This record gives sequence, structure tokens and C-alpha cells, in this order.
Amino acid sequence: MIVMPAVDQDTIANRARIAADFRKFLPAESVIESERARQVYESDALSAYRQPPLVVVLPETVEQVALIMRYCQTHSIKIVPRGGGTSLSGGSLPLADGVLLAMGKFNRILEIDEANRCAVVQPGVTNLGISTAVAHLGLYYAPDPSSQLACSIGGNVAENSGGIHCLKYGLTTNNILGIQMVLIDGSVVRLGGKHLDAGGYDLLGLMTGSEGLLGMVTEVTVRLLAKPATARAMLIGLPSMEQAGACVGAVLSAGIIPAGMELLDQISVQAIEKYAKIGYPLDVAAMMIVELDGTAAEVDYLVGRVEQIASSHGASYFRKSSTEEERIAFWYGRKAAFAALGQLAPDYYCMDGSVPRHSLPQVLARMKELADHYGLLVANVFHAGDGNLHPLILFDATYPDQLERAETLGAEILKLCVDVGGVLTGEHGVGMEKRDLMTYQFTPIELSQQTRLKCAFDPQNLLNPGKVFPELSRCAEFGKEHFHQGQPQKFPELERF
Amino acid sequence: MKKFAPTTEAELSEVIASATAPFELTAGGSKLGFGHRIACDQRLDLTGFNQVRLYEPHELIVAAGAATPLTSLNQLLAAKSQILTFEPPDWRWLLNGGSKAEWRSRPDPATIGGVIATNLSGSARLKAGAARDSLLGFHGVNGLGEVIHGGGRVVKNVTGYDLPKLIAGSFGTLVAMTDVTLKAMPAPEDETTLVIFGLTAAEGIAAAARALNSPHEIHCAAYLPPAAANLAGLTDGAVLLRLVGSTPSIKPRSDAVIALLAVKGEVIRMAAAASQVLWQRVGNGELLPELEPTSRMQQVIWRLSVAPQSAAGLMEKLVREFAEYELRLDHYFDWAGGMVLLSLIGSPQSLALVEDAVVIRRAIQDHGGGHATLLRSPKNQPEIFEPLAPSLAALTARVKASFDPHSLLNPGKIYGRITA
Repeated sequence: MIVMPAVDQDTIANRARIAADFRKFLPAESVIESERARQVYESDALSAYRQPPLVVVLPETVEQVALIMRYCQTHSIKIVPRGGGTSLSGGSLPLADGVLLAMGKFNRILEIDEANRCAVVQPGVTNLGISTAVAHLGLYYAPDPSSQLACSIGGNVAENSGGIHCLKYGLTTNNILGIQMVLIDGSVVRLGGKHLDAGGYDLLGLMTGSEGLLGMVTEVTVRLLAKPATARAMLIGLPSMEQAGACVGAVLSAGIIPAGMELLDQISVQAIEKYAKIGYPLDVAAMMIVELDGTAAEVDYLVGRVEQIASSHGASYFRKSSTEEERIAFWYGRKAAFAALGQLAPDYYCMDGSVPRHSLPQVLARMKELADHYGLLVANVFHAGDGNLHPLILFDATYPDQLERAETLGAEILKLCVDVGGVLTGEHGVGMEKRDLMTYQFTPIELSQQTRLKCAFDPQNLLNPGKVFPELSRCAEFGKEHFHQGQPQKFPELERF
Repeated sequence: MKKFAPTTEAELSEVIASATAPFELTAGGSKLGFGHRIACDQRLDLTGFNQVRLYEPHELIVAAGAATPLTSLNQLLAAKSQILTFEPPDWRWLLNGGSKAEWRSRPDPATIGGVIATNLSGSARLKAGAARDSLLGFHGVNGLGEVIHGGGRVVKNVTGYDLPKLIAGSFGTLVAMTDVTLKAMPAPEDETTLVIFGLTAAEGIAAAARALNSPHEIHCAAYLPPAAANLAGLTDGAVLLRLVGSTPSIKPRSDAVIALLAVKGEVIRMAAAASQVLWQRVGNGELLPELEPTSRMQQVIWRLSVAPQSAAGLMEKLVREFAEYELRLDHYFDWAGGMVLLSLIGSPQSLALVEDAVVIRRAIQDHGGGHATLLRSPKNQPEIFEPLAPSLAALTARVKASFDPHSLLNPGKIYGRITA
């Protein structure tokens, strides 16, 4: 069980006063204090964990965010940021003694700048909302996490969200140009803008994927791309996951970067077919979905080449989309994978490690051994092109030991990912879920470096404490230390932390 | 000048941990003139970290010692038809002046670590991202002598803070990098550049935007005013649109772009080899005028990064302003207008008199924002990079201190006065 930071009972005792203070600069309806209303916010998409927050605040302006931050810093009150509430890693799980800063009212698109190929939006706008708003211009926002209907762009920045198409188009970090953010002391800063590569430290890059630990994003300038002229998807059935893995590598090393390249094992394919009836092949051990996009001439040419490569890897089944409806149907199955697999067992636990692609056969074989050892079924759907695995551990939480076994198996799988040179999380974030595994991937020195970086932004550790890092040590006051010439100290930080 | 040349992470760690005074970090030395001079009498020579550690073409990754020469890395990738997509340019002439031909004739000592430390990207940055977008991981030693690994070797990684982003472009002020892991991408099968004449800068940049907003996949876009065009061997000012991809796609896409833009004047379709050479010259800054080596004190060079559609208006304004100082202004636009290379030529007296940094930065703020970086100047200038607002400057100093609390690594390289 993951231990959250010690609860400050004084803060909880002061709930009414804190709420009253917030109402001095926030509209009354933007401060949620009642127990029943707070319960609405008690979890995100990692719903196994629940905790109603101290108070929920729903600011509408940057000034209000700045006042909230400053108030919390002055009174040493913890803050948990929340966007769409779709985090799969418990990134916005509330704290009993923490203010939940929900950005849902920041839901306006401020500017669409066609000529500069960007849009300026508030953080509560949904990912899909951006693409919808610019569709009439033939433009779109590229990262497309599966939750794109509901997840907010501010949350995408916090998590550096990816999606099916990030193999070719990159993650959030590669697709935003600037942000406005509020620091814990209430100061408002801008990073980047409509231009590229703002000079100085790439704090924009650092903020992206920082899981709400460094500052509150209050505005995002996203890069827009022209929609591809055509896209075609292919379903390819292969005789084994090993051969499928090799086929993925062969496509990429032939110089073809598909817009998306997914791999599903037989359990997943069969479950999806039963659930969604798309016409996926039931007799193949592995199925790839490959999407190629671009101009018609380019796409047709590349479809032919992928077919050749797959044939030489023993592919026994091919289907190519010839209409847009068909292409969408191919993907519908993939997107419904979790729902479909959910039919096989009452509960599932979705993992998110990334591994070097060549280690795939080894990882899959070992994962099977582990699953057998724990007596659980694991289905695999993943973003094969970039080695991002989504093993789905199926279990039944009504048996008390199964959740525990599932969590232990999950941790073993993630350690396996690290062992083969991969990482704990490719796109879902560390959140509170994988926090205690951080010591498996990082050395104490690396964790202390990241802690010091956190201190540079948030010296009291008030922003989203308990997430990403195991309990943080206290911050030393950097600015007040001086280096004395001729008196070198070896690793002086060790004593101070 | 004391020199330390460690060859292992352990040695490097020892050197930094036992240091009593700051270091200037060096390897190839091709970009020593970029940023502020560092007042120190110790040099940390990292050339020992120069081995390719791993290259897996199937995985699209390469990991190499930070001091691996860029030329050998490029050759290694080329043998498998792969490239660094951000096409790092050679800035020796831009930063040092002298004769372009002479720089070209000498081997480029640039290292991949230097490219990453300066986040230096070429024309392909527009579509393929910057150097920082290709950096997956790094190894290095911070100012406490601690060995730090950031990022990893997988493309998708959100585990902890994205330290590679922070290290890219940090000019050696946070860690001494020993090793970098980069994305390698397939080299395009074919390419062409459409050279479209008869448009003003504003029209040319607008045309580039229309082309970029179409589905025909423009890879690079530049506008060359007449003087820059002449240096590229073209007869008049022109828009350059580069298309890369599979051979069968090049012609239909080119036709479609020409039709879309309803081009009335002359269009040249360049063959792949000529197109590559042209973009190399655009990226290297070679389309700015060069002076006799003896007159190099008479030229200032800036790089401006701005909102693309503001660039033409901004440059009109700057041309007017600098005309009053009896300076010759040359420039051209890359990144579809978003990046401007600007040269000012004049007598040492007029250059000494002009407050070019103030004029340029004020104009940028009046034209939608952005930043200006000084690449070369005969006079001492206090702000080589865009000055930061006070709260950002304080944050920057704290970030620096979190890696290098004693300011041992390249102190003042970026901002001179504050420790970073």
C-alpha cells in the first residue's frame, strides 16, 4: 500500500476558515467545502484510490490562481492540481489536507492563429476540443491520447501525453510552443510563445511531464499541423509475437515511419472481436495495426512496401482500409481494447512500461512466466513502434488477494522493463501509482538531483506532494550558501539533506 | 590555464568534486565563441568521451560519447541511410567570421555534445523538431561531482522530470555531459526544393504558411531577399520550399504546391543533391555577406526567433531603423519566417555607436514577441541571449544552483552576470 504524506490535522481543523478565506477572492460557487460535493473529486481514473480533498477551488482567472497559490504558500497548505481527472496513475488523487485546484473553468480557446500554425488555449480545454475547433482550417493538434474526449490540454502538459500517433508526430513536449504558468509564490511567468526555442534553460521542456509538481499551467500555445491528405490503416496477422516484433523493426529500418503501429496479442484480438465485431482475424497469434498517412501517392506506395515486409516475416493475413469508415473501424477495435478485455474479468490493471523494441520477445516470454506464477491472465496491447507496452492484468477484486497479486505482478513487470533498459512509464506518468518504484530506476543521487530541482520551484514541497517521488527530503536553501575558495567540500549536499 | 582531461566518468567526477575554482568546458571548440566568455583559468577538456557506445538502426537510436565528432556520427548513420533529423548546422563562420571558403575547407571539429549543449538545429527544425526533441537521454556529472543519468534509450518516457530537455541548450552550465542518446531517423529517399520567384518577403512568408497548412508536407521553408538569393546562386529574391519523402511522391506533391500557390512567375525544381547543398548553406548562415578577413571587426550577426507572420514587418522596421545609423543590413528568413539571420555591416565607429541589442529586442517585442541571440560582435555586449524577466531570472539561478551550487561549470556562459 502506498503511503501518502502525513496528514496535517491542524489544516483539516481549519477547513472552514480556509474556505472562507478563499471566498474573499473567489466567487462563492468556486469554493467547494461540503463533504458530499468534495466526494465528487475523490479520485481520478486510477479509481482504486479515493480520498476527498480538503477543499476544492475552481478559479476562473490567472489572478485567482496566483492568489490561491500565494495563500497556500503563506499558510503552508498542500495543493493538488486537477485537469480533466483522467490520470491513470493517480496524478490528481486528492490529499485530505490539500486544496484541490481544479482548472475546469479555464475552458476557452483564446486564439486560433492559422498563419502561425498555432492556437492559444486555456488549460481546461479538452485535447479533442482543440482539433475540433481548427478542423475547418484543415489543421489539427497531433497528440491523441485515448482519453482525448475528456482529458484537458493542461493535464496533457503535466503528463507529457502521447497517443497512437506519437511515433511519427511526437508527444506533447514536441507539440507545444509556449505556456503561461503560476509559480508557488504567485508569480506569473511565460515560457516560449509563438516563436521557437526560447533561449535560456528549456523550462518549457522541464514543465512538460512534471506531473503538477513545479507550477500551475494557466495557458498553452499549441502547435497545429496540417491534416494529412490521406490515411490508410492495415491489419496484419502474424504467426507469433516474436515475428510481429521483428516485423515492426523491419518496417522502421526500411525507412518507413508509420503514423501509428500497434501490436495486439491473441487474447486481446479475440476479446476485441467478441466485443466489437470488426472482423479482426481470430486465428492469428499476433495482429499489427499499421497506419500510413500523407499524400495519396506516398501512402499507396508505402502500403505496398509494408505489405512486402510483412509477407517476408510470415504474415498470413492482410486487410487494408479502402475507405475512411473502414480505417476508423480498424482503430475502433484498438481503442475499445480495454473495454473489451474488461469483459474477460471484473477488474483489470493497466501497466505502461517502455522497453527497447529488440527486447520484446524476451519481455513477453518473461511476462508470461510471471503471470503464470501469480496465477493471473495478462493481455498485451501496445504501441509497438515505440516500445510502449500496455500489459493488462486481469483479476477479480472480490477475491481479497487478487488485487494484491495484481499489484505485485504489475510491479514485477515494470521492474522487468527497467531491467532490459526501459523505463517504468512511457505515457501514463508515475503519479502515486508507480512512485515507490522510482528507486528501482533511479539511483539515490539521481533522485536527490531531481529533488533539488523540485526545490528550485517549490521549496516547501506544497505542489502535489506524495506523487512521483518517494517522500521528499527537505529543501536546503541554495541561495544562501556560498562556496569558499580554497575550501572544497566533497559532496557537501549529502549532509544538508 | 590549467587543463583537466578526464577520460572516465569516475575521473570527471573526481575532478569536479575536488575543484576549488570554476571550469570552462570544451571539446571540439567550434562553438567556444557562442555565449559569454568565461572568466576562469581552468579548462575541462571532455574530448576523451568520444566513443560511439551503441548504434541500433532497427531501434532508431544511437548513443555516443558527448565529444564524438559530429562528422563521424553523421557518417555512421549515413551508412545505414539514417540521419539526425534536426540537421545540425556548422556555425563556425557565423560565430567567428573570416572566409567561408576557408572554414569549409577545414574539417569541422564540432562534437555532438556541443550541438546538444547549444540546442543547435538547422532548417529542418521547422518540421523535424530541434536538437532537444531528438535527445532521449544523457549521462553527465553535475557541479557536485555526481554522476547523473537522465532520460533513457526509449522514445516514450515520462518517468521523473524530463532532464534531457533541460540539459539541451544549457551551454554546459548544469552538467558536464559525457554521453548522449539520440533518435536516429530514416534519411528521406528523395527530395526537391521549389524555388519560387517574384514575391516580396511578406508575400513569400504568407505563401510558405499556405503551403505548410496544406497536406503536401513541406519540410523546410525559407525566404531569401535578393542579396541572400544572389549568394545562393539565384538571380532574385525567392521563396524556398523543400519537400522530402519517397521518390514517387515528390513530383505530385510539388505540382500540388505550385497549383495551390497559383504561382505566376518562374519556378525552379531543384534536384536532390542541389537541394541538400542549398539547405546546408541556409542552415550554416552562409547566405549572409562575408567581409575581407581584415574587416571582420565591421560585422555584427544576430539570430532572431519570432512568430513567423510577424517577421517581414519586423525586418522592414529594422531596415528603416538601422539605415539611420549608416549601417548595411542583410538578412534572410528560415523556419517559414520564424527565424531570421541578420548581419549589420558598418565602420567600427558606427557599430560602436549603435545600440543594436536594444533596437532589435524592442522591435521584436513590438512585433508579437520572440527573442534575439547575438552570434558575433566586435564590441562587448552585455546580453548575448534574451534577458529574462526578474522572476524567471531568479528561477533560472535556482535551477542552476540545483545542479551546480558552487557555480563550477561554465558560470556566466549564458547570462554573464547571473550564475547561469
